[in-house]
Amino acid sequence: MRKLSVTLSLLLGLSSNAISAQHSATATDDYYTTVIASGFNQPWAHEFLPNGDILVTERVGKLKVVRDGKILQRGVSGVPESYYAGQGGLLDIMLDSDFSNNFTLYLSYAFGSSNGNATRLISATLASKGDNYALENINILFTASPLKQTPQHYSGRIAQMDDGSLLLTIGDGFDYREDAQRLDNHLGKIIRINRDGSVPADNPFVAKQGAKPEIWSYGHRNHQGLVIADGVVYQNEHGPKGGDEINIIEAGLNYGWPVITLGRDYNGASVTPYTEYPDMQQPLVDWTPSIAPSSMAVHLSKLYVTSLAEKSIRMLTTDGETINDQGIVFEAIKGRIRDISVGLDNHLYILTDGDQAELIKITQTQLR
Amino acid sequence: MPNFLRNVVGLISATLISSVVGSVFSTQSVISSLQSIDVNVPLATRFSMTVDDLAILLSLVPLIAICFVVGFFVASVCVRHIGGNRTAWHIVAGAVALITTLLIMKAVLLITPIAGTRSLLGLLSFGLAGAIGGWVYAKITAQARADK
Repeated sequence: MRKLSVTLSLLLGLSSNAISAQHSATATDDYYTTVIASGFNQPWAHEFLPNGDILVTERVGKLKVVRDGKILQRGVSGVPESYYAGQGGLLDIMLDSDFSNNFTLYLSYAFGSSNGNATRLISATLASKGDNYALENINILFTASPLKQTPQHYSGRIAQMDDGSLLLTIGDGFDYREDAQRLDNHLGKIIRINRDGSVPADNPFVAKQGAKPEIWSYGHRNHQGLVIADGVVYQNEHGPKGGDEINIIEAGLNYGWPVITLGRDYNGASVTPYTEYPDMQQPLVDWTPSIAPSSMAVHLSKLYVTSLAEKSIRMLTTDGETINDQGIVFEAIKGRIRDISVGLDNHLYILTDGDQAELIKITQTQLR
Repeated sequence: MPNFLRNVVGLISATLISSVVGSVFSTQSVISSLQSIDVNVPLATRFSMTVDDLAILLSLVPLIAICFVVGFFVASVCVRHIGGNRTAWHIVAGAVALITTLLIMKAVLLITPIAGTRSLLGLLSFGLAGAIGGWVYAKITAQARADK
């Protein structure tokens, strides 16, 4: 009965569409922005429910609900406790591709403590609870190994492949960068698991002695953008001082960190003497100096990348094999931008960064 | 040479020498970490990366100078009130000042600020750079004390 209630709530849209709210607007010749909701505390990601409600993760460990342009006072209940420190906390959220039937969503977060912590992925079902939601049937699908002691570079972006399997980005933990090249751990990797947490039989290293079978690609630093379009997996990652990258990810390939990079350490020291090395992939786009790419979305065959340091949104074109940076778009939008996605109304939405962050809709009046 | 000027020259000399030595040690530690993941770094590449990394002196010099001002002041107090070998006190002060500063920065920043000091050996080698600076300072300023 409860499931039926959830079905009705989520599919028939008992709450009106939140994007109808217009708190303020900024207009230019070919687009205008609308602040949908504001006052988020260090948000990281957002996701649209079929009924128009919007779920927003806050690193402090809360999962907020935006309805009719307002943030509900109580967030979603039942969210597991996350380790909130440094860059850690509650991170990404993604609905299962069959959410309309199974009400399953996925959350990534920093798990553990200062003595030992890791990027973790869980699944849960979203149930109606009064006029709000609760997470039920929580399953821990994956926890990166080994535990690390730095609260940095969790990554944590989730994507789902056409076969239903899940991809999760796991950062190098900052102080453990060489582990990105070692296959006996999960740091600096993209891992691939099934919906139930099991390892797909066709993962590239399942038969390799000593390798973690979940590994799908390696040699990554801090990759916070991951999106799949037409079967192609696009990923962006933070370099250190320079060396920010966009890659097209293929199973089993080595993306080079920290052996090849165009970046340097924050104090100016070399990370490596090499910008290329045998069997390591070159980035398709490099940003030096850094823009600090945070997330990525595909909209009308274009890639959109948000940035924290450059405080911008960049548009890129791709044919699935190459990527061309077309530069900054929506130039009137200023500030550190944490997340970007395409809403149910086929418009772009962004989350700004910080402790008074906003969810903003971008309406393009002239499509690029 | 006036004592004040000799102290200044000693501090600048110690800071520059420790910065260069610290940078060189840090680079060797980073290369060692790369070799631990089977990256081949020929001697010529090691040399060019070591020279290239001297670019970090801009950030190292102010940090080490502040460390030494505090460390050498403490060393001078110890010499005056505890006694013992002045050079030894400054060697210890130089090493402890750099290691302590790196540990404090790590605790505050929650990361290791200089990649070459992530390992214990790398951290101790930075301490050695500080110790060399302490020795340089003690030797340059020794005459000032002898003149008194």
